[in-house]
Amino acid sequence: MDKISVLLLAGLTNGSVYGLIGLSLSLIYGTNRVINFAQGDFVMIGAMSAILFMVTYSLPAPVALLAVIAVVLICALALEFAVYRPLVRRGAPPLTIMIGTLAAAIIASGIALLIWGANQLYVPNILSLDPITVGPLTTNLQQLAIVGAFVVFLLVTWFLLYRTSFGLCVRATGANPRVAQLMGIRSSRIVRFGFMFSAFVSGISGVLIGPLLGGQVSMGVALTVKGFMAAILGGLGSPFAAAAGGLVIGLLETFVAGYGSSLYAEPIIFLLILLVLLIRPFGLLGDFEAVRR
Amino acid sequence: MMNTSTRSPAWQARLPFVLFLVVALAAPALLTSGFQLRLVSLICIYAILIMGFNLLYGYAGQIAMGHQGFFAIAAYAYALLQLKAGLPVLAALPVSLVICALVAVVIGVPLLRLRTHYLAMATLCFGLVISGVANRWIDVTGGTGGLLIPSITIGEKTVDRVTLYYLIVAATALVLALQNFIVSSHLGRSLQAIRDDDKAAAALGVNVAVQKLRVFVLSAVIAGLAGIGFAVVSRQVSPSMGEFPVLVSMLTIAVVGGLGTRYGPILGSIVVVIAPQFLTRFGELETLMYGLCLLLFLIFMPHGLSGMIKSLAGTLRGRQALRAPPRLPPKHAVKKGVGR
Amino acid sequence: MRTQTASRTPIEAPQLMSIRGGMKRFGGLVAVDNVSFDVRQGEAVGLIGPNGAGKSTTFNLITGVDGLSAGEIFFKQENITKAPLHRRSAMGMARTFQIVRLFSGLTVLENVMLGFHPQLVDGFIPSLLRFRKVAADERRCAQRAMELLQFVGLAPRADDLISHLPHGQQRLVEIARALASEPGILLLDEPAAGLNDEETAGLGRMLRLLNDDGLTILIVEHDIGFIMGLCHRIVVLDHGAKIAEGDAASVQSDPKVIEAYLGTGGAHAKN
Repeated sequence: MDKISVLLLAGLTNGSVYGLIGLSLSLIYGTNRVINFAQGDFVMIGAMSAILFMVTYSLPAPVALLAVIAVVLICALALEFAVYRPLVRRGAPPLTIMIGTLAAAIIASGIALLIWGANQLYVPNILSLDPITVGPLTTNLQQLAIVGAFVVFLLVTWFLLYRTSFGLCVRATGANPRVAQLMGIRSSRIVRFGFMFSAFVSGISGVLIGPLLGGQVSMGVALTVKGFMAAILGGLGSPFAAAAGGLVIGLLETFVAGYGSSLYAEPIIFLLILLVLLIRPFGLLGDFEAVRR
Repeated sequence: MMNTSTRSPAWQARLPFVLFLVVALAAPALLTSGFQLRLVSLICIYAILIMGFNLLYGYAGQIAMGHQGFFAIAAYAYALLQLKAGLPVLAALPVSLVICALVAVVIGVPLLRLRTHYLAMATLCFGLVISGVANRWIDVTGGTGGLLIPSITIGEKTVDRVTLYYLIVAATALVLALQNFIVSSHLGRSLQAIRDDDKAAAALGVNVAVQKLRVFVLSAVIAGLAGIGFAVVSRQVSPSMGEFPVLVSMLTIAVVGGLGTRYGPILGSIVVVIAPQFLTRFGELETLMYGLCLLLFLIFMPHGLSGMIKSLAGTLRGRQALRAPPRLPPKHAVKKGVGR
Repeated sequence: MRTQTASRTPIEAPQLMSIRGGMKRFGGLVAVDNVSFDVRQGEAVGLIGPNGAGKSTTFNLITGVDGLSAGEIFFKQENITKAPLHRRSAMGMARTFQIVRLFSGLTVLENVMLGFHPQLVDGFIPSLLRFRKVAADERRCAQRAMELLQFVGLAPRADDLISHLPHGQQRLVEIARALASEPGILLLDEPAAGLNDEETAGLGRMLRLLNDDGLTILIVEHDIGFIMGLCHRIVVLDHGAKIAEGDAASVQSDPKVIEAYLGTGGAHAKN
C-alpha cells in the first residue's frame, strides 16, 4: 500500500471521529447556543470505559458495548441536570454555561484519573484487528467500523432531523429558539436530545477509535478543540458541514504528519486552527453565526 | 446581580491592601518551615497571575483561555536570556516581559475581533501551540524536562529564600496597587462597559478595539511576571507551565475568588493553594476538586468569596453607611450644555 | 405647538449636522433611500414616520452604528462619513437607544460617569504617569454626574444597580449619561417608548428646558403629540425616503404625510 493510501485511510479514520464530535457540538449548539466543552471527554469516557468493562470486568464485547453506552448516557444526563439546568435557572449567559461544561469536563477527567490514572492505556478492540485487503488498501474491521459508524451516524442524524417531526422541532429550535418555544416546542426535551444523542455518538466513537489512538484521560481536550474546529469550518449551524469539516481536519493532520513533520504535527494543526479562527471565524462555508447577530 | 462598583470610601479600599501587606510581611516570622514559605510565595504568584486574568475576563469580559501560554513564554524567555544570551537577572526580567508584550500584541490584534466561544477556542489553541512547541523543541526548551534556572545572585551572594519571598510580596503589592488604580478609575469603568455592552461603550466614545488590546497586553505581561516568579521559586521552567492544568487553576481561582472583584484573585489563591494541604489524599483528587469547586461556585456563588464577604459586610452594616456619595452642589445648578 | 419665537430664529443659525443622500442597503432591501436633511444649532428636529420607515436606521447611520451604503454626513462642517463610532461621540454627538442600553454591572452613578470618558486621560500608561490628575478627574466626574442625576431627579438612586430601576428611570439615566459629555447634539431614539403619560410629560418638559438652554436635539419618536410640542421642524420618512419636511403645522396638513399614516390608524397629533 503506498504512502498516500495509508495517510488517506488514517486521515479518514481520525477525521470520522473529529467529524462526529463536530456534528455533536453543532447539534448541541443548535439546541441551546452552548458550546459543550465536555464533548471530547465523552469520547474519552467511551474509550476508557471499554477498558473497564472488557479488561477489568472481562465482559464479552457486545455486553461491554451496552455498558459503555449506559455510562455515557448517564454522563449526559448528569451534564444536563448538574450543570446545564442549574446554570440556566440562575440566568447564566451561554458563555458561562460553556465554562460550566468545561468544569464538567474537568470533573470527568478528575474521576477518570482516579479510576485509570494518567498514563496511556491499551483499549481493547471489539472488532478484529486482522488485516483486510480492500483493493489497494490494507485495513481491518475495527478501522472500517469507524468510517462505517461515521456514515451510519450521519444517515441516522439526517433521518432524525429531516424525516421526523421531532427533528423538525430540533431544527426549528436551532433556527430561532424563541419562536420555537412560542410555538409550543418544549426546549427541555430538545436540549436533552442534544446531550444524549451527542453522548451516544461520541461514546461509541471512543470505543471504536480507542485501540487505534490509545486511551488516555487527557485526550478529551484536544478532541474537543479539533471537534470545535470541525464544527465551525462549516459554520456552527450545520451538523453535516461539521462532519465534513472533521474529515478535512483528520486528513490535514495525517498529511502534515506524513509529508511535513510528524513530531510537530499536532502543534501545526492547532496553529492552522488558530489561523482559520483569526481570518475566517465564521467558517469557510457558512455565515450562520454572523447572520444570527 | 452583584454590584461590582468601583467606588468606595478611601479607608474601605485601603484596608484589605494594608491587611494583605501586614500578613504577607509578617509571614516569615510566623511560619515554621521553608515549605510553608514556599506555599505563601505560590499564593502570591498565583494571585498575580489571576489579577491579570481577572482584568481581562472579570472586568473586560474577554474570555481568554490561553494565558497559561504567556505564563510559560515569559518564564522560558527569562531562562533562555540568562542561559543562552548570558544576560544578568536585572536585564532578563524586563526583556522577558517585553517579549511577552510583543507576542500579546501580535496575536491580540487579530484575536480580539473574536467574541465569546470563538475567542475562547482561539486563545486555547494559542495555549496548545505554545505547550506543544515547548514539549517538542528539545534543543531550545529542553523538551519535557525543561530548563534549570540559575539562582539569583547579588554580587557573590545567592539571594536566600526569605529575601526572594519579600521580592515576590513586593511584586504582588505592586500589581495589586496597579490593578486597584485601574479598576477605580475611568479605565476600569470603560473595561466594564465593554464587558456589558460594547456598542453602547463605543457610542460613548470608548475606543473598544484599542482598549481591549491594551488590557489584553497588560494582562499578558502580568501573567508573564507571575510565570517568571513561578520559575524562580521552582528553580526551573518546564512545559507544564503552559498546559491545561494551569488554565484550570486560573479559572478556578478566578471564579472562587470572584470575577471582576479587586481581592478575588488573592482570596481565590489562598483557598486554592492552601485548602489542598488539609486533604491528605489530595494529590489524586486535585483535578476533581478543582472541577467541583469551579462548578459549585459558578452555580451557587457567581460572585465568589469576595462577593460573599461584601454581602456579609453589607448586611451587617447597612448599605448606606458604606457609601458616602460626593457632596451635592448648593444650588440646583445645571451647567447648561450649550455645546462644544 | 412649538413656534419659532422672534428672539431666536434657528433658521438663521449655522448648520450643526447634515445628512446628504444617505442610503443604506441590507442585501437587496433599501432601508434608507436618498435621505437628506439638516439640523441647525439650537434646533429641535423630529424624525417621524410609520413603522418600518427607516427612522432608526437613519439614526444609526448618523451616529455611526451602521455604515452608509452611499451619501455623506457632516457634523460641525466636518465630513464624518468615515469616522468610527467612538470618534463621533468625542466630537460632540451623544445618543440614547431605542432599547435602553445601560451597563448592568455598574451603578447608576457609574453609568453616568462613563459619559465623561472622552474627556479623560486616554490609555493605561499615560493614566499611570498622571495618576494625580486621574484621581482629581474621578472626583470631578462623580460630582458632575451627581449634578446630572439631580437634574433628572434620580440623585437618591445614585448607588443603585441599574436592574433595580424601573424602565422610565432607566431612560432618565441614559439621558443623564448622554448629557455628561456636554454634547453639541443630543440624539434620542424613541425616548418616550414605554413611558406612561406622566413620565412622558416630564421628559418633554426636560427636553424643552435643555433645548431652550441651547442644546440641539434630534429625536425619533412615534408619539406625534410629543414631537409636535417639542420640535421646531419635523422630517417625515416613509419606506426609507423623505416625504415631507417643515414645521408642525405644514407637516400635519401635508397630504403625503396623512396618506403614509392612514393605514396605521391615521395621524393623531393634537393641535
